[in-house]
Amino acid sequence: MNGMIKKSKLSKLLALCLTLAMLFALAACGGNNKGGSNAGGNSGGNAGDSGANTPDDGGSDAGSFTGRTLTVGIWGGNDQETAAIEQLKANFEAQYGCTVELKVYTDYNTQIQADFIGKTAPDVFYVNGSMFPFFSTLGVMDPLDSAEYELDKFYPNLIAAFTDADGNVLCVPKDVSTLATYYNIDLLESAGYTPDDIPDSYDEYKAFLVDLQAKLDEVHGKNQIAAMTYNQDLARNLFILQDGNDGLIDADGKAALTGDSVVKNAEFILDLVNAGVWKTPSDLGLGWNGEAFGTGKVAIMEEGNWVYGTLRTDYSDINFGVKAMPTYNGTQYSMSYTVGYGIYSLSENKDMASAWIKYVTSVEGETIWCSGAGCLPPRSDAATAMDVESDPVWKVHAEMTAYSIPEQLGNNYSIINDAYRNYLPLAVSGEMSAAEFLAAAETQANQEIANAG
Amino acid sequence: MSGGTQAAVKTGRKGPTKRQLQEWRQGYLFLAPAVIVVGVFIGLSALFVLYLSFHKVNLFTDTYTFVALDNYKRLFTDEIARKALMNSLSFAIVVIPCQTIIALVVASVLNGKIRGRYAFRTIYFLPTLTSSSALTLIFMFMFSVTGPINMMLIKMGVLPVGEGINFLNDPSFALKVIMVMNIWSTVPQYTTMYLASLQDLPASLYEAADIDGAGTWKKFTSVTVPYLKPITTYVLLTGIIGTLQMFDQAYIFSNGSGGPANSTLTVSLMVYRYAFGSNNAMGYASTVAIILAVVIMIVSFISEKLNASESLY
Repeated sequence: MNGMIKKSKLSKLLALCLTLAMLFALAACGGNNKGGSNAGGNSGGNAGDSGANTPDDGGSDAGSFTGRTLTVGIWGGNDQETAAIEQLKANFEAQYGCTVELKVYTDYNTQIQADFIGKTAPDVFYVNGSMFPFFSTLGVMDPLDSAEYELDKFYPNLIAAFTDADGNVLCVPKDVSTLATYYNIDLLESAGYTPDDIPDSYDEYKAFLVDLQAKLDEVHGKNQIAAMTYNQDLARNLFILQDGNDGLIDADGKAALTGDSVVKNAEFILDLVNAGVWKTPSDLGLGWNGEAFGTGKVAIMEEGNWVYGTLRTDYSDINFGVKAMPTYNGTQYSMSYTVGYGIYSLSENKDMASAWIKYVTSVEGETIWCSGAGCLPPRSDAATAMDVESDPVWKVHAEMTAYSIPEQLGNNYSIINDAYRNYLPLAVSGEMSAAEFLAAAETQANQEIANAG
Repeated sequence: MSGGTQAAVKTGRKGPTKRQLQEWRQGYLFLAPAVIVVGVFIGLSALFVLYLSFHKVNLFTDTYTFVALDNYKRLFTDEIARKALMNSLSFAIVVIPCQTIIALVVASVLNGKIRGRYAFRTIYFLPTLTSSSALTLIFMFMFSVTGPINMMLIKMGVLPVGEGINFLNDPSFALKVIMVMNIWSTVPQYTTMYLASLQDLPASLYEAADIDGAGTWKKFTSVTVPYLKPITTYVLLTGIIGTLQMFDQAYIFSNGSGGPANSTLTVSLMVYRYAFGSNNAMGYASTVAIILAVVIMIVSFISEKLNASESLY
């Protein structure tokens, strides 16, 4: 009997201990979350592992933000991009004696929206040009003063890309990339061509590429080397499709893909595809243009300047050249992809966020970022300071900036692009005509837009 | 616990004893953490989804406009939703029988006294240990135009040289590739369950069948299969839920778009696209999720009824 009582007492004690332990564990979890979402809170650990620059030895100048933490929302990049942003962070911390916490997102456009909803977004964050029209309607970014941020120094088409419906600029562009034509000199020569033979106009592309493909097949064997790659994506096809019409969206932001001119432009793309001279990287069993070009599987591609670094480091044996994009129906086009910084409207560190933007978009900041990350500066004075003209590849990409149209299509870019990518394979396989495929894509996009209400 | 009950019976008192009360209190105390966590993260969330499905929701501005059955009405005229449901159902119809039958056969073979069965058991279990996203990428490589599958078909002379099928970008193949992948990766898990149950199958049943003159096939259909019925019920149920909710493989395969031509758009992927795309349509996404849950419940109910009725012979 005695033993039993002891046992029950023991089990009671154990139960109590367990319950207490659980409560502590729960409390600890809650506490951690709180610390994480409070930017200014328990940031000692983060500051510690962020490296050499401790906030305390902030140096002589400024130090006005001493002891405070600025959170910057970014997406991850390659090693060079990471090194460049870390450099900017270290410089900013040294100058202002504060801590910069980089909040790196993996699925940026989804996760940042979750943070907007939870009202926990970083003080200052990246905004992709294609997402800007949608984000600008959410009221999550503060309008920026033109004089304060020297917006007149930036390329006007990039500032326009970050201007909302009311005419307010909400982001300062931090970089831009453009498309240019890359060609593999050795492959062209193996087929008996020189780079000068590549036409300057899309009108002559089909005849040239058909000949090139035939010669490549003759020399290297059938289906071994593709004449040219393309992508089934509005990000690449937009400028062709909207040539000669009012764009792919109507006044309400709905998809408008069925106009005669759009159909004609789509037929132009499909004509090249059906002739067997435009192949997707996936048709070649590869991931993207850069890989196809770098492994010598394709003679010509249209790619952004980010591929330049890849070609130099990963595929250094490829002998390539770069030239302007071909003209389409007599007009010079390219695509531009720009990213900017916006200030979170609920931020408690707007003064720091503002200082961060001014620093990273200054000539000094742009030089560090763009030369590290391999993109073009969004302002001409920084381009001069970086001397982009001295490199023939950079020169071509920089020249394309003025002719480029931004990757934007109102609030519903990703919906319309998904619908476009969804049905284009059916047009390529011949199951649908160009008009049918565009009608199907338009119907799907507009149904999704209507469902979203 | 049983000690306490006995004590209550012995004394013949009505109502719970002090000790019983104490034990109950203790029981609830232990249950509390789990109940709270499940209640908040599953119970309340499910109720909230039901609430959302009757509203037009803008989470950014925190506005919820009551729209009654508008979302539901819209869903029944939404052709893409119908396509997504058909994709999910055809996925389930192909995958569930395949994975169940293959698992059953593999388990009964591995239960036999064959040489090296332990090694085989280990090898067969490996696919389940692989993460499904890594698996998807490997399959995408295998089924790419220049991948091993096409190379094999070309070497065997099934396809002409240099004209491999682009399985990934062809609407008539894309979902089938995901089916193959899903069967391959789920079979081992179910095999293990069947195998565990087969270990308990008394040898006397087989001996009796031997005496009655049953052959291998007869023993399989008349002893093994009926004996494994409870496991089969479980396998079918988890199979139905798993296939109808399939998301990750379709997402990675199509880069989140459900393409080409909506051929890999499953209902879960559609929910995700409406909820977290640039659609801002949490209300509609909730409606789709509710309908999916109802479909899963109905299908599970029917399958359980069918499976149970077989035992009445």
